[in-house]
Amino acid sequence: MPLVQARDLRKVFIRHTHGPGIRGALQGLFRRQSEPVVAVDGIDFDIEAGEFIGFIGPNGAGKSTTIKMLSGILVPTSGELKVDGLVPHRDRRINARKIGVVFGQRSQLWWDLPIPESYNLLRYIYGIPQADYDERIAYFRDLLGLDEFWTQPVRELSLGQRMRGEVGAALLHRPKLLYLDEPTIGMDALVKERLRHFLVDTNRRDGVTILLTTHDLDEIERSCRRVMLINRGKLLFDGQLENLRAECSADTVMTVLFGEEPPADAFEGLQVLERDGARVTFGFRRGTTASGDLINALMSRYTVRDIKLTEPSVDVVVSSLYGGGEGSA
Amino acid sequence: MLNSAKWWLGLGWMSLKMRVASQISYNRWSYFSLFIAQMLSYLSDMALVWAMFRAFQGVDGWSLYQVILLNAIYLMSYGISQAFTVGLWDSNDLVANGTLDDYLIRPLNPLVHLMARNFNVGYLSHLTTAIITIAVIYPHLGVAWGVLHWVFLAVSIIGASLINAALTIFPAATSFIWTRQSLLSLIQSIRFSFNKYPLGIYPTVVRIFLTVVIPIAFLNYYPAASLLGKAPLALWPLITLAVGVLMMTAALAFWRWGLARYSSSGS
Repeated sequence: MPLVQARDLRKVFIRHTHGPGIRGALQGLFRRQSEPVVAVDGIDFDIEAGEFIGFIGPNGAGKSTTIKMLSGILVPTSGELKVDGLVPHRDRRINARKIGVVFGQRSQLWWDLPIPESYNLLRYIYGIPQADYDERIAYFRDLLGLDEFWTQPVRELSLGQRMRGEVGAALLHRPKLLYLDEPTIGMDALVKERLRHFLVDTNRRDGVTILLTTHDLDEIERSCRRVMLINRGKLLFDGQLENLRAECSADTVMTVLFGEEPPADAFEGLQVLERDGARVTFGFRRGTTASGDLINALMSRYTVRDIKLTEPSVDVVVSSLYGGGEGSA
Repeated sequence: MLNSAKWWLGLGWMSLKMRVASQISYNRWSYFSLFIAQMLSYLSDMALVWAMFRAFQGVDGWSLYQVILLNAIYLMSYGISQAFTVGLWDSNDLVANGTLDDYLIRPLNPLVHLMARNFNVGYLSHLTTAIITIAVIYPHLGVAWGVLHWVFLAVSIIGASLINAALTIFPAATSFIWTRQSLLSLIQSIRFSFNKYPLGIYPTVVRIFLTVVIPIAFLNYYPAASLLGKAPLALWPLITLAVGVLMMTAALAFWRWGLARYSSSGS
């Protein structure tokens, strides 16, 4: 039996609205208009113990709402959700012992105190035996590199340092499941790499099942075998990362800066993702188009000043999966 | 039950030490000076009442010192309740910024956790002020209290603390419905404004309001009337305790309802 089972999981929020201006606000006092907002729109998935899953999607796609339902914070509007045999919101407190959660935008560490103070409080809350606690701490200090800033108040730490502390805090009580909601927002590549290395290690060593939410595809590339892609509350893709790439009409993005703004109809037959004056962003598939050929073709007709090849962002992947962009290469 | 109470006290104690350490990490004297500032502010409040009543020779059959006792009893119950419920003052942020989620991911009751985590020993200043005040004015009250009087004073203060706590929990829980509520500030100003003088000086409508709607008359006026021999001794302290237990039960039920609503509608 899978560790997590979601069947036709839905979450609908009620948003209260009122008309514009003071007039609207005053009318809103007496007549509240409300409209349903579908955050998660009937998704199905299973997660097996020990998996490391990348949960991707643009902002507002429903990732956080899903994590909050998995954590027992939010009650699903309909559908079924079981985590290790329990309904998270009904057995919230038992569920809480089995999970570790990191919300990237918030902190569970005490701002004015060094990290070990917060850890000690969590030790008390979860009733972690001293020997086990010491072992955990030694592991974190070593592999998360917490030693470098172990005695500094959290407020003096860099974003990356703090996040390493947050991840340790979420794993202290040896949860079966770790939910990470955008943990790497605003971090530089080096720090991301270190965190990635740690997560892969803890996933293999302790068998912690990890659900990593992000809108950064790069991050998932080397750690997750499985990717779930969500957009507007619907699961658009669930499977291997390679297969996701295969399904996209663009797996590579090329940004070209031309000498002058090219005519509007210049790129007939090419997939143009974005146009901004003389800067044009193309998407193409490496399997069907060689980047060299494309560059040669462009350079033979126009002055090219600069070329940059990048991995597609999650927005590009979403739009090329459904909706397909303008034409295909 | 006893074990869990001990466990929560342990959590409260740890959090308290951490919060004091946090404060001291900026300025080691700030905590102490805040304490002194609080005491001075309330002592000057008492002095103001004293100054006013010295001119007027009491009001509504209450002497100057009896009115000061009124204030001291209120201050004591406010200090005790607020030491626990001060964390609820951020209820708007709890809901709007999602800080509440950080409590909901723990294997604990979120309300008790919130209270334990934010338990504030600074309110000892209220308690100290009230005790000093009572010690100073007691000889002037014109009463000779026996053991039973002191017991009923304690009963009154427990009841009043429960009422005061409920008067914080209830409006705080409205944050679950109106994300930006200001009911808490409203109740705060009511309980601070209408507690300084005997209930008898207000028009009947106000008296009924302060007894039935926002029953802050139980915080000090009714119990003090009993303790000062203006009513049967056991009567008002026991009613105050009953009102406290009732209001607390209702406030907790309302909080639970609001929390359930929050997690199902996520307003």
